[in-house]
Amino acid sequence: MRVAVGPFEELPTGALKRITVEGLPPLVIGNADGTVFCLKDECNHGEANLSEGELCGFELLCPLHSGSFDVRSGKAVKRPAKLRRSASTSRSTTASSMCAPARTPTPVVSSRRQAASRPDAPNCNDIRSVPTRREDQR
Amino acid sequence: MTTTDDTRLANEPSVMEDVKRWSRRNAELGTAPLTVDRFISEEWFEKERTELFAKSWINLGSVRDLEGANSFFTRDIIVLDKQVVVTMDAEGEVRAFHNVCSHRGMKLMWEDSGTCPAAMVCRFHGWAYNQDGSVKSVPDEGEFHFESRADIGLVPIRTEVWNGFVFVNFDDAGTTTLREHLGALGEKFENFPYDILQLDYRYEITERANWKVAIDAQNEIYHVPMLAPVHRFLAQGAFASNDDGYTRLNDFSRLGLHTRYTSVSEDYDETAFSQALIDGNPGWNAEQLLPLDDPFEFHVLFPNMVMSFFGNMMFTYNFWPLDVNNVVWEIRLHFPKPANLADLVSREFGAKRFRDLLCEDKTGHEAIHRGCESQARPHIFLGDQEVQIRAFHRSVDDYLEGKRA
Repeated sequence: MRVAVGPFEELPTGALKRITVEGLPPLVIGNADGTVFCLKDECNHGEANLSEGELCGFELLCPLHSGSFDVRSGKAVKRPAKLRRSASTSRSTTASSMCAPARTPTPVVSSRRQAASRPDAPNCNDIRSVPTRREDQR
Repeated sequence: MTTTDDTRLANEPSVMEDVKRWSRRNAELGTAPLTVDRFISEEWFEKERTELFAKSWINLGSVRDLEGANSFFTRDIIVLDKQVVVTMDAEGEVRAFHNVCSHRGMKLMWEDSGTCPAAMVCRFHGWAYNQDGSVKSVPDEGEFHFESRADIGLVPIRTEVWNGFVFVNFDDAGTTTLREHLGALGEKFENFPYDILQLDYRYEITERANWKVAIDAQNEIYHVPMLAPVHRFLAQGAFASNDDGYTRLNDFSRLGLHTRYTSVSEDYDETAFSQALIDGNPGWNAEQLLPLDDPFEFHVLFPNMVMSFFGNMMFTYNFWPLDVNNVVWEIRLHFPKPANLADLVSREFGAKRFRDLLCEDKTGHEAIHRGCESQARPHIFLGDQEVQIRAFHRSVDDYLEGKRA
């Protein structure tokens, strides 16, 4: 099935957009470094729309718990998303057939992912290491 | 204590599919929210101080904190205003005394730990004591008026050692033995090979959190895939989780005042680093040396100790309240003796990763306590995957009401 959903120019790099196509569940389309993809717009973990998430290279982060999916395969790559299931096939297999073929993967270095994971980095200086008497240290 | 029936088990849905399993099996615990005042009320804490910590058996550490014959370690038990010196004599007998010189009340041993082959000597006037607490010498003794040296020994504290763990009880009128206190949990570990484990790492964290806030936050795995990066990293398969990615307890039981839960991952992924070690040393960590029912078991030894196993590692926690709003969290990591260099490197790596987890946990504990203090809500809510927290608080309630077995 081929459906035109809009001009490519309206989908700049990093953009995510929720679309509806008759007969299918709500979908998310996006542009990951020039690769256009389409997945079911639902995390396989919590009740969240992936279109409200964040694209880091080829990784699509769920807005709720930062589980993530590889947009090229639809496969979940980071918990709490369920790793053995993909986003697209979790509850419907129809959407996965709409995944655009991926271009040759390019290495992705993302600093945004770390920034998003935790705003208040804990301070390890608060942890005191106490000497022990283990034999291999004597 | 939960009783399990094999026939019933066979007919029930699996732990992965079964919803609200643990409240059904532990109906006596109820499902009500917990009141926040138990974490922040001075009155509540005072009751815990006088009715719980002053009366219960509490763990001070283990013989692994001692250097062997003629050695000692000291502990300040702030919650009870007590100072303790634990000694091991030449025959290996372990005793605990108030760390207070009989003469004028001076602190006797000042070091955290050490050896004392000759005697323990007070630095104020030189009164000297043997490891059994008896007086060895009193300088200028003729000028004193006590009738017998037998009257001026160190004041003993009720002490019992279980599997190398040193417990004391400050209630001189108490009649419960340590064995009775440990009950079914003690029996479960009766012949456990603790002697193959050595104490490799110790950490200590002072937190602004109620001691039960800290225990509760450790006493569940529901948070592991969520809290912070190292936790999420660890959650990549370390615990059982259902199809929605939520962690699951495989088993939970109340063992008298204590609790036990397990969670077994079927798809545990080694880290790249561990995998490299395994590839280089095929025998590494392959053998399960500890006879556990499940490779991950977590026990809360009432009131303030945790004993948990992860493969061949044992980690223990001791939570020492300083007051209602502050706690010292002691962490000890035990491993079998390393078989080779890779083994040694891997546990060094494991300990540092553990420390990073502790950093994240500490930040969480303090934030939770602040939230409780704000009294935004009068209650907190517990799910069925947090049933062990419910059981712990029931034990606290029971103990404060005098039900102590």
